[in-house]
Amino acid sequence: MAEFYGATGEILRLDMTRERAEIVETDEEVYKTHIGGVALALYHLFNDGVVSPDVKPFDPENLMHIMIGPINGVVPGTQSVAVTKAPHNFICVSYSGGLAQGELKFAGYDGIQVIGKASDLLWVSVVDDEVEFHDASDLKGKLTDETEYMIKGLVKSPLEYRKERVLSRENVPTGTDGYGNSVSMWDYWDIRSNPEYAIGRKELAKVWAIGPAGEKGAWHGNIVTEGSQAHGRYGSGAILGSKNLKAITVRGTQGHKFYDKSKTLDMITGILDSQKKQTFWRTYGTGSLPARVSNTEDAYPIRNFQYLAWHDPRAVTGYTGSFLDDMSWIKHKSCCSIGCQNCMKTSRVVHTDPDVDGAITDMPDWEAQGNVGGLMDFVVAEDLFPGKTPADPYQGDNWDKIEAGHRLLYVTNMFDRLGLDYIEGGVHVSLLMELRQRNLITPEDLLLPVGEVGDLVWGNYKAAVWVMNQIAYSDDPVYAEIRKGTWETANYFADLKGDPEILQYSMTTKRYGQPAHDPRSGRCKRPDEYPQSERPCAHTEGYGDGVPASQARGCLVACSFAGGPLGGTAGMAALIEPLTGWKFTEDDYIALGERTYNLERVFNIVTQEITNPAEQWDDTWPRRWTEPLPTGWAMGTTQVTEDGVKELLAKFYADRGWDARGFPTADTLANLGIEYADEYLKTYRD
Amino acid sequence: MEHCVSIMSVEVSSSEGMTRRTFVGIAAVGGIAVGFLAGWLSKPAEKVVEEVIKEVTVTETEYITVPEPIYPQRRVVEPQQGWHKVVDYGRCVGCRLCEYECALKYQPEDFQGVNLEYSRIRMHRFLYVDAPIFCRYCHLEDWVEGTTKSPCEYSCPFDALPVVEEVMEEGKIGNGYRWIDPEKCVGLEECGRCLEICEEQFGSGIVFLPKDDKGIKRGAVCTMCAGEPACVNACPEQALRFEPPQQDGRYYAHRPSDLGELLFLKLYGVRRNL
Repeated sequence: MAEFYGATGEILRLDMTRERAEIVETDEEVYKTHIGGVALALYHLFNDGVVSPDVKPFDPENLMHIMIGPINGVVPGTQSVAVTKAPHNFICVSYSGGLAQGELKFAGYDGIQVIGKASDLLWVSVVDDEVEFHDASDLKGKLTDETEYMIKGLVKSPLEYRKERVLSRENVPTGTDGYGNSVSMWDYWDIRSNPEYAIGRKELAKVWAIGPAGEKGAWHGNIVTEGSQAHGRYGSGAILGSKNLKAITVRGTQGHKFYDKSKTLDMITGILDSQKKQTFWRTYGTGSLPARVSNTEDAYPIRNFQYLAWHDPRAVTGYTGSFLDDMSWIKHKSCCSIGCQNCMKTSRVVHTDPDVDGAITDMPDWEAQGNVGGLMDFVVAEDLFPGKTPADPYQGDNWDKIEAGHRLLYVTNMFDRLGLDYIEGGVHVSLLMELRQRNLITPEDLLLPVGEVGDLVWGNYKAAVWVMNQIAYSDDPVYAEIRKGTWETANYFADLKGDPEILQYSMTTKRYGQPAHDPRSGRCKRPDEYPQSERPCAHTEGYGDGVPASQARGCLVACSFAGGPLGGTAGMAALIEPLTGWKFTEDDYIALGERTYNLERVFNIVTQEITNPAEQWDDTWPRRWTEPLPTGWAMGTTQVTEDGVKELLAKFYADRGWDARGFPTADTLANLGIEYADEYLKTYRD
Repeated sequence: MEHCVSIMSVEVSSSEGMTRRTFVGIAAVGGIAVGFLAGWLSKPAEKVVEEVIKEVTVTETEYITVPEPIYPQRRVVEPQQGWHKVVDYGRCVGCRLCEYECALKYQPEDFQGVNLEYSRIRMHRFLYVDAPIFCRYCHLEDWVEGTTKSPCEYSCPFDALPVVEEVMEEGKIGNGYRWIDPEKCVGLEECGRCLEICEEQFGSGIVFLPKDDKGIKRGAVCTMCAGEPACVNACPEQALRFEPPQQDGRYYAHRPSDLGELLFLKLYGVRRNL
């Protein structure tokens, strides 16, 4: 095999059935066109036949990837990406920061594949080329941070680990103390010694873990690292859970190799210099968006997207970066391997409710402020302001704002700890809240102990967390249905009650929950963005010609918040050649994005056996978008019409080289060098 | 690059007899500022807003130049003898730039990339707590332990951890700081007593390097870059400081996991309930 730079050319495959690890080597020519990350994972999903509709998401044959790209390691602003067939039977492409991704490169891999199903719950340690499967029965049902805390210190590199002790009373030197007695350091030994091992205090391993929700197979169960950073979307944790893999711990010692060292180091310096000046990210990050942007843009998701602004702007104060900072943020936290601009902040809750008090989490960032704080509406909470709505003037004082902020922090923290995606999770719980608001379901339908936690009304964090706990732990058949996420829950209740009206409250596009951005006001998102995105209902994909560039980012794998040379297509494309030695231009970068996007499209069409993607797949956006807004600047209007979306999509299909039904044509796929995808697609298209 | 913004002075007078006030707003386009006022306030106080909008007049527009933000960074301007590195853990974000700079400086020059294993400062992260671990320059007490040497130096049978007074390699070794002599160190597999004593009773400040060309894992220790530490200069958060010592390093050398718990208590004010 040719020597690789940047990337390593090896993917670690964990076969859970046989409890064995293998190395998957991929041809360098494939690397040159797929680079890494999402595209390389999709290449394997196609070539291992996982794209076929015969492979069901929870089958042992489904292939789970945690992938990185050539820049992961010591280049600032990187992420890892989880790629698999999601529980909903579409493509799961889900990003996360954290230190584990860099460590994986240092261990010498471009990714981890997980296949098969272990007979019992296991966790896996990867130390360079040594892979061990450990029994995880004592981790069963543990929260994500508990799991990480329990196993992180158990994994050591051979560089810094030894069981046998060489020091003894005989070979520790002896001196004379102030009283003239013979003394040695040995006299102080037993006070602090650990009989387990002589050397092994450094704890440099990094962990990816799933929570109880992933073990139970909740369709929005996620993979969490460092307590609160998650491969959040599309149920990657549920797939890992279905393989009986609780956690992966990584420790690498081999460094990150570059093709052109001096040029790469210069580029790293450029990125670092630029990131040091990113004052937006360095102060509050996306946490500053609620008041500055979202509430004024009419894009704040409130009460299951019934409102997009608290009409009184004073209401949003408690969710604002500066308020949260003064109230609870303790310190900044870097989220990627090296030199991150630290847009994350850790925070602590002080509360009179002992369940809430002492919750430690990070931020919350904008998606949590929107999809947890806004959708469940802790601001105009039913118990604090009975009968009030976001359209009314705000009547709370400073303490009400603090209460709203703390509820937001606590519920976000519980999503992370249980291992649930809080974007989909927020839409999910707020759907249940709206069904209660409209009396379409009863507390008994949810088995809710109203006397203990109250009814599932807006702002009742106790009932929300109770429902989340049931999703993660309950064996009841009701929760086996509700655990499947927003769209399936709406279907379940629509069937149960014989009321199709319930379906219209499911705020999902392509059967997955909507993030904290909305197209109705026309100031935040374009209405075609969610229908265009092949990662169902993703808010980071751009629209129109911006889509390929954002897809290519997922092959490097770069953080979408990274600045400087990583902030634009030219800079990102220029990184590849000095790192890997492969000729790579900006046009190649765009082509890489198109390739990735078409692969995702074909995957989604084939695995769901779709015969008319334009209608069956893209036209699944919530019709609430066409209803006029009840509050805010854009009150009484909406920018979204059925025809408008259709028009934008038709143009989008033409620009991508697709036919009118939304199928990529054979020519388009051949031009992108992914004929292997057409093998699967042509039976549905032709 | 310099950013330009327009500063817009707006005069607003109230029809209810209040005195004239001057507001200064910053916006790219003046219309947006007026629009914000109208948009925010329209429903709860429609009447008042109408009056305000009518009387907003733009009296003067001027352009000023806002320089690029300069991020403050602590730098050691000249080599210092006998100083210590001190960490402000509340400021440390765990960005690992200290590790990166150290590895770049001390890894073999022919290594085609960056390997953090060559760094003598290792960033440990214990769930919401970031703790760089490095040599604290502890020494023993002669009236208790019979020597004032460092424990690692004291327990080394090969005298491989001396304090080097003269500068041996410009900006890397010497100037009164310790180093591990690679000619004398026989490695972790043969010996490793220095790390053993350091980990059992002190702060795990010694690192062991990847195997060299003879297959030996030699130890390495922070040499303070001969008094001008690269990690301190690299820290963008001012979390690392280089100062005259206040006390012996043994009193702030904690085992990494112990330090993690101490810092968690200090920063968050609660015990970890895991």
